[in-house]
Amino acid sequence: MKKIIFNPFEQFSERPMILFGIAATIILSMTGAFFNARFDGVIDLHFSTPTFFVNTLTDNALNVVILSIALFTLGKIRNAKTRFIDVFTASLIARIPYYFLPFFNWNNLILIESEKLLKQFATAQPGVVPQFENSQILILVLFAVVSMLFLAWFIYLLYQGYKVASNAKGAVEIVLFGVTILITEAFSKFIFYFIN
Amino acid sequence: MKLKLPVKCPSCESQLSVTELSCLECTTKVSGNYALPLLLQIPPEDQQFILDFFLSSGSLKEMANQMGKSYPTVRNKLDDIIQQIKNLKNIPQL
Repeated sequence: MKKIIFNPFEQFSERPMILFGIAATIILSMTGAFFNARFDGVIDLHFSTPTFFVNTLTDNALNVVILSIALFTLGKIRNAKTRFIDVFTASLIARIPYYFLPFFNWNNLILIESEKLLKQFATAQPGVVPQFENSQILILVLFAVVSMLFLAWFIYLLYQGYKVASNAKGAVEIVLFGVTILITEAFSKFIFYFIN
Repeated sequence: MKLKLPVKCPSCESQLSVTELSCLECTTKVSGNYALPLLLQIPPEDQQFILDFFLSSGSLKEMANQMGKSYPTVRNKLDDIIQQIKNLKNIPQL
């Protein structure tokens, strides 16, 4: 079970994983749209209204393609035997945990609370800290903690997938992977800025 | 019990070599200094992997099915064994 949750890439072949990944991406893009989530960057999640299924699905499809191309390029440089299908599978499967985060925006809870927070800061006198409600802080801190956990799970899965695809070993590969993700995030923000 | 063939000296970690062979039927003994073949110097599970790979006609896909692992995992294992043998080849043999 632990292997399935944290490293399915060692065990399962690419065909069932791609089918599962595509199905999960489509279904969870629907729920993402229902909870007004936009994945406007390879490691981004923002809530905004109105959000349609086509927006969320396009976001997720673009993120998977951008991640796959970036990791395939790195993988090919480090190990000529790296196959695109393996990094594509990794990108598709690794993002699935992230697709569950929009469920926390039930009734636009996170969107309302974060907008309230921004308004409190915007209307506060210079140098004065606004008065926050305990429930507001609790909701936002809890969501931040859960988001960080899911982000860590996503990145860990992505690295495990990349590791299996390119036979990566050692600290240098981890650093190169981290740098590639950061560059990909910046590049994807640029792409999303132009298409939205 | 299947005994494990020692390939490294337990005292100084140097490569071991074969210095005596004997016939179990007539107890004739042959002495000399023979280097262990490269394939015998790798761990038994890697030797088994090579044997299975050979028996599956070199098909990594079939190996992956047999082992219940993904194709890239099996390919990585093979690459690691190849690297291990290359490293052993670079060590001067006795």
